[in-house]
Amino acid sequence: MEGTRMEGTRMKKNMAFWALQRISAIALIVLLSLHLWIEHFAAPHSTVTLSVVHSRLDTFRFLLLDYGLLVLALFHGLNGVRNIALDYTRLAEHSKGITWTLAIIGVAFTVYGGVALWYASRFIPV
Amino acid sequence: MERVAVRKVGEREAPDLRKMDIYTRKMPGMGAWLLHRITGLGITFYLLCHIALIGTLIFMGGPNFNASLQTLMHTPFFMALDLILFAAILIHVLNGIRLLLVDLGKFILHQKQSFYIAMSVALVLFVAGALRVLT
Repeated sequence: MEGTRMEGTRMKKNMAFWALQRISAIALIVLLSLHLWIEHFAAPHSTVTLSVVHSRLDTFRFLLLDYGLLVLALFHGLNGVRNIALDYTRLAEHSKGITWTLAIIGVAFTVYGGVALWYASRFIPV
Repeated sequence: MERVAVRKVGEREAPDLRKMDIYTRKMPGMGAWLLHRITGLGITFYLLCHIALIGTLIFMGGPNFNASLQTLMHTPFFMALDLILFAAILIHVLNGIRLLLVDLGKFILHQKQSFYIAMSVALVLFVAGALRVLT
């Protein structure tokens, strides 16, 4: 049947996604643990303020943590949604549409979150 | 093998592949697979909401950000939702670590046990985290 056979490049792309899903998972275990500890468990009864966020983003390690989490969590989550969606269709044109839709969502949220982080680091909040 | 249905093929009986029920809903492997998907979808949905909300609050400036975070982090309703999210993350992460180990060839013959161990660790971490936040 047309479109059901997996061509070489498509298989290579899926293998790369398979590997990236696992690499991002390992990185996320570290980054998410740090994020949860810093924001919630280190001082459970205090509240995160924008000035705290601002001063944190002056340091390289928080830039790495926040931008890293943003990109890797979005990739891992949306690629996971792609894996589930592709269990329900084998047609090449469907999988292309799914991949592009999720990619656009991923880029849009990365840009929005990235600009917000940049705004928080650039402008001193009142 | 009582799970294998049998059908007549000519003169002899053969396993009916259409009715073979290898992965039943009651098996822990099926539960693990389903749990991983449901928690993954839930966490991804939360992630999109989280980026949209925190991003918007940053653009709205300090007073709005601080007041909203005060509500989100310390109101019982939102704390309960946070704990559900925490449980989902722990289940997904611990089962995910198990899956990474299976990919590396570890515990392939002990997947049931490794799943129960992963969930036990998740439960211990959940109780420890919940106690730290609530007390």
